[in-house]
Amino acid sequence: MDETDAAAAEPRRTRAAASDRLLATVIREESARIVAALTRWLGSLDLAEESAAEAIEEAVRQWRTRGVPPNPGAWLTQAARHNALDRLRREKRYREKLTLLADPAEIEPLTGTGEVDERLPLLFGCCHPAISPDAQLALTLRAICGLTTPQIARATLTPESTVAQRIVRAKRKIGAAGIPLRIPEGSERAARLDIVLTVVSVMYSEAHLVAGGDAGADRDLADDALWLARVVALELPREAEAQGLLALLLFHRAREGARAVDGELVLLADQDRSRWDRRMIAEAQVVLEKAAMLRRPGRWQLHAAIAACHSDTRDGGDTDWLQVLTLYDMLLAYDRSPIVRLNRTVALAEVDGPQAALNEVDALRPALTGYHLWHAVRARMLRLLGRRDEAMAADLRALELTANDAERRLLEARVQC
Amino acid sequence: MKYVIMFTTTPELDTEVSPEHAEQAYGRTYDWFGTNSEVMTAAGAQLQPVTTATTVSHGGDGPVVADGPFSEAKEVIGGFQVIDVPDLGAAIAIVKTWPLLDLPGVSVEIRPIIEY
Amino acid sequence: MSQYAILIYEDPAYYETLPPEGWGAVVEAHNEFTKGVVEHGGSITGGEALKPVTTALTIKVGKVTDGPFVESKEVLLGYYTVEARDLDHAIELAKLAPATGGGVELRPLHDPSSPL
Repeated sequence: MDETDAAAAEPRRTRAAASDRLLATVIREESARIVAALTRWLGSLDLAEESAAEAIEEAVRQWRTRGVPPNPGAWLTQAARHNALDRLRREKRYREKLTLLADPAEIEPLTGTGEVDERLPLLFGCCHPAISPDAQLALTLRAICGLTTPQIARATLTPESTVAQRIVRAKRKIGAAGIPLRIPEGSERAARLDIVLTVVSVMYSEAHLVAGGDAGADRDLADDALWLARVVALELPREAEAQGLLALLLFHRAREGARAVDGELVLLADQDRSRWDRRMIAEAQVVLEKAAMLRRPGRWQLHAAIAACHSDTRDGGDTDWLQVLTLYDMLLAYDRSPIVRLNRTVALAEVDGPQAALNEVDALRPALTGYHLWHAVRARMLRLLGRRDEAMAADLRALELTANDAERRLLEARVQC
Repeated sequence: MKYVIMFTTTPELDTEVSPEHAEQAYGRTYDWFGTNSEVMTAAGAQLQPVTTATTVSHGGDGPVVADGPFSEAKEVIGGFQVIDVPDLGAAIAIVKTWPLLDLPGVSVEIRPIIEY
Repeated sequence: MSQYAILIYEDPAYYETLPPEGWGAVVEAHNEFTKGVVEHGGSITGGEALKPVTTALTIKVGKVTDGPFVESKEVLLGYYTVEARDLDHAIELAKLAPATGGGVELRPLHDPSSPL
């Protein structure tokens, strides 16, 4: 391509990109409602989701050039319903089912009115423990956020065929095994909500990897995750942990502008605080305070509280590490995962010194030896202790294990200086 | 004597069989139940594919729910049937005629049941 | 309502070393389960307790071999079929099932009347 071609192609690409963002906003708002309404009508999530996905693809194709219609929800519902009927007529095994269907007009009033939000029961179904964690994420991205299979594949660095297979298996399992689409009550609620929140958090961190490094994702999963965290927090205002996760993601999102500068990662301590989104930090603080008033502590609120400590700093030097460490110690009561213990060592080094932290890091070796950040944290402790050669070796090992370009450049810079 | 016969398959070998061959073999299982109807008791269960399985195991912090079958074996149970026959020899003779046995990875286990 | 099979996998060593007076507790545990299912709004539609795996025979392509179809620490020692509202209800019932030192697998039963 010569320069003239490139210049000619530029405006079109910019316009498409802006429109993609708008399309993403519209689609994530409508997708789950349509899938839920169609599932209720058809009695099959598999068929409903397939028909909705087809309608979304068609919509994206049309709206990109002609613009979004005044009532996109109605347009999508209509198209999805049409697709479903088409499929029912085409496939012999469904024909009997066709005569049993209620008048499609009956599903109309429920979509888009906001009176009955069926998205959450659908979300709890997608995040059922009888579905494997990978498939929970893939199905949530498709049915709830309305992503296409290729988008999910790119965003999660997974082959398309694997993503497609996970989604099909999960949908069939919901139908065949009788997984109910509802928000569990009573003692089940907390454990099931935690799975939902975990899926949303993984969605956010996977997005981080893509956004921080290799280009190619045409949709920012972090936006989807933040949107979904907001939906859950708004629909379940009495669930403190749902508020906790929303606060956590807001704190992180607020720092995004300082974390990735021109495609390069900047460590928290070195981030330019003036690039932080103060309005978003203020919102996160309000949400976290609201969660605290519910007096049901949990791991997401503690994660958010730790993020809040960092957000209070004017520069990397005035972090209240004792408070951070105390919060980590409380967090261990809920979450003793090796990653949490590794993150705690950073605070431990500041409070009890690098040797105490290194001992703890080394204790985590069996669990985290394949994880690049374990080697990076270890390198940091060794450097603080003046063991430069060992630190260099650990950084090089971290570099070998890093798949993400931006993280690799950050480590490379450290090895070189 | 009552025995449970357990029909097992190896899903990863399913693709080695042509759909026509499989359909034909499965078609003959209906005849098999008909031919041996006098030893069949009312007890039995035809399970949905193993992809629909959910496991509840007992962890340190209480029951844990997860996707997938309990056993990691390649062979999976597809169904049970309780038969009432004079002795083990009769059970073996009937099971040997199970039409799916000529498909790869298919086996049938015979276990006496505990009668109270 | 849908039907599910609850497959009970346990370590047979537990029963091999169980003194005779211990069996009363085992029977009691299963009676408790039967009562529990009803109290939790389900019902039991069938089930069998299997004799130890040492009594198992496996038939594969016409060949009879000694032992179960799969060798592992925990083995299938029995099953129930239950009627439940949905998978969550079935899980609630499965959590009540006695499965000492093992776990249970839940499998929906084949329902030929459902087209989707």
